[in-house]
Amino acid sequence: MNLLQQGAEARLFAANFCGRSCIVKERFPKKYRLQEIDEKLTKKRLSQEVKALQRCRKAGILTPIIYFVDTTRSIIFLEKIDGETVRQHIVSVRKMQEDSSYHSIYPMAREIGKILAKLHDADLIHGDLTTSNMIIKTSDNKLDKKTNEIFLIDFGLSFSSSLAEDKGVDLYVLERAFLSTHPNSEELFSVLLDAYKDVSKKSSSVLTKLEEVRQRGRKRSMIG
Amino acid sequence: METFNLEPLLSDTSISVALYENVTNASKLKTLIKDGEIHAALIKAEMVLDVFQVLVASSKAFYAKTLNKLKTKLIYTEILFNLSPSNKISECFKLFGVEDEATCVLVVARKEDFSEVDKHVEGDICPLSKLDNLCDKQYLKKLYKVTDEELKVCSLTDCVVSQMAAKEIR
Repeated sequence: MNLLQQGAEARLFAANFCGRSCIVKERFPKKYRLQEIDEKLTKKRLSQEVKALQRCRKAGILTPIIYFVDTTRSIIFLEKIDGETVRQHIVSVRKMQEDSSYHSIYPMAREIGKILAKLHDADLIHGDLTTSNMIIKTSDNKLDKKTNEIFLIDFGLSFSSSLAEDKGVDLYVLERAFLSTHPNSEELFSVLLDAYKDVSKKSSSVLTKLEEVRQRGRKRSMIG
Repeated sequence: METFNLEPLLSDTSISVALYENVTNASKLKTLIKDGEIHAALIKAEMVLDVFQVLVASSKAFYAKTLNKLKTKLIYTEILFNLSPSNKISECFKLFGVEDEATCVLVVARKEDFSEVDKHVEGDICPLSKLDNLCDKQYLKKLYKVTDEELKVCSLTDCVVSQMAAKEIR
């Protein structure tokens, strides 16, 4: 087993589980928290992640398969998705464009919009939507670029909600992530939102809330 | 018959999985296991879609044993319990356990114990790939409540395995 990444919340290892390559996600104890609270919070995050992964699949969203769960050590074994994060993909594709534009990424943005529409229509909130929490799978057939599949990952902060406010905030978090990670990506994000609107059956209230949340943020004057 | 190592959880444990058809002594084998004379799990072959399903159930069972957290008496009964979506032990045995008149049996045992188990089975060993033909996929789909929407994004094996792995989290 080799360490792939050490995050604030968990360590990720690559391993082989019964012949399949997998990711081992270990939520380690946080010494800066009171032990009792840490144990409860860690178990809750593990449980939320597992439940969300299952519900996503039922809603037709690509997510890693769960291979093993150890609630005692807060470890989860997940299917390893071969590919790169959407963040890495956007950065590398943009570098190849002479004009540094995002036009070639529009189809992928539309795909993400569709996925989020399915997620929110199933009353699931991801809780931490960023381009690093989406993986674009390397398709086996290199010529057929249209079949690149996008997986959603990292559901530790997820919860279920039918409120437009929660869905609006979920989208807002992604918007902030886009704008801070990928410069001048406003149009790219609006392509994503258009696809969301087309696919979602409950989008109008969500998009209204998104606009409201945008007005609230940092350095905004709260004149209503 | 194929052998698998249960890494990374238990890298020093290996299990052997074998599929037998034309078995004539399923009932006798069950008694031998119950009496502790042979150490193996007997699984209804029609309920297994892919050997990976069995590997996941076995890893969980062997691991639980090391932590002394078996929900059933033996590792081998635990494997049956882990294969089932139900938390009722008796229901698990009924669904995945082998019937007395069964002719197709999947056997799981520790690598070291396998040859001893094999001696007692009166049947013909056949390749594990046959499981795909034998499996009652429709029944498995119904049992695990797998929807067509789900099957658009992953295989039936993956849906089943995911549910098996996440069974305790409700």
